[in-house]
Amino acid sequence: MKKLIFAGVCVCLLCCVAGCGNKVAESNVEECVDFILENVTFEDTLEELSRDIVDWRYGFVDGAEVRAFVGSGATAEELCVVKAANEESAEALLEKMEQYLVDTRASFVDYLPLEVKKIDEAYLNRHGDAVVLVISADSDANEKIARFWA
Amino acid sequence: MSKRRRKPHHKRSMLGWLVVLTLTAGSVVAVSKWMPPPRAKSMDEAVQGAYTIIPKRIVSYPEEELPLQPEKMEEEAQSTRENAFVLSYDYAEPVPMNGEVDDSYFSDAIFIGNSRTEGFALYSGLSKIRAYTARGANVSSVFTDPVINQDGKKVSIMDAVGASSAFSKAYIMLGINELGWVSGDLFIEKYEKIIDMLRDINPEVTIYIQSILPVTREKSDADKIYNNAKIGAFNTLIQKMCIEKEVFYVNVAEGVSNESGELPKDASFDGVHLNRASCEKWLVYLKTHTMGADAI
Repeated sequence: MKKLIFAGVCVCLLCCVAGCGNKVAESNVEECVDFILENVTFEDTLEELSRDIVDWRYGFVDGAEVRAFVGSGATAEELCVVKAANEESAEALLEKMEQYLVDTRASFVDYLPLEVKKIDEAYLNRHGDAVVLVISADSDANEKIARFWA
Repeated sequence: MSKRRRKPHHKRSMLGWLVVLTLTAGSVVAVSKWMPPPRAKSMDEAVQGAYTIIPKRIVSYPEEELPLQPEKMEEEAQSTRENAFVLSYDYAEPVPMNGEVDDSYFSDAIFIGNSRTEGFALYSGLSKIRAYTARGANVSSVFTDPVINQDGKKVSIMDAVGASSAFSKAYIMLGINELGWVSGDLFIEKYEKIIDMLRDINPEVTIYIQSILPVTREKSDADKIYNNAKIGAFNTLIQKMCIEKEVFYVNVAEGVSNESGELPKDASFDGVHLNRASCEKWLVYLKTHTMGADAI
């Protein structure tokens, strides 16, 4: 009987672990974007970009699923969530986004220096096959987004 | 006595003149009736004058005497109207309002500008846009600052433009970042260099210079540099340059401003950069203020 209970507990634990692991695999772009828009504070009014414009702005060329929101130009604020075909592609996208962040910082240094702090504290991470970039005025943004993926 | 003798002779002479005059008038009328109507001017001749001449003459031809087929004549007349319109264009005037073109009009266009043009590229609704923009770009930095990624290399805006001649229209809006410059002459000198370079790249390019958009009243009142008085002065310089360089001045500022000539408060987060709704208005203005075949 004890063995059976122990086996049952093990099965439950395994399911839980699998469930946590699936958070990354199952989380889709929509969920992530909704969470960020609801929980992260932006000063500027972010507007969603069309797919063509997203590709033009970030230089994406593959068929990754993506949603991006950008401020008016008065701030550096933006949000971009990309879901690549697989983790390898996501890693390549992450590298591209890292370069994008470097370029964005350089363009704001002389133009709107106060925005540089936001860029320095931006959230840019890969979660499985997804890459998330958030530049905001919210000092708790990174913690909030990390909690979503936990 | 001598007077009496001369009278009959004088009458005969008068009668003779009358006969000659009648015959001359008769022959002029007869000749004008038998002669065909005058030929239309050649296309080159027509281009020199008002473009309405040719269509009027086409209408005056009897059908059996048409020197060209009606379809051909209409094509030529249309071409003449376009050429004459451009040749006789008064560059002192902003591009007038005319029929609205569709998005395809911009498929062979490039846009050069600063962060405001970047906003236009993001928000206007044009799906395929070739925009060469940079935050803080000005008429000088477009030649010097390596801000455009091209084949893994960073190049300046004008170098990136120069790498391709596959455009036939160029829209430029620069000037807001130069408002603090000491010399207006230097601003125009550099701006003219951009125009010259575009013409070097493509001598047939149609160049549209857009007016600098205004800022909101709040921004204008609070800023000694970025205010609407300075923007107005710079736009006057730009308009003068357009006359000298024979490029089209598009007063897009009127398409996004209120009745006081200011950017409405709800059009911008910071008083300078336009939101989506205003960028859409901007595009509508460009679509309804064009030159060339689609617009005439």
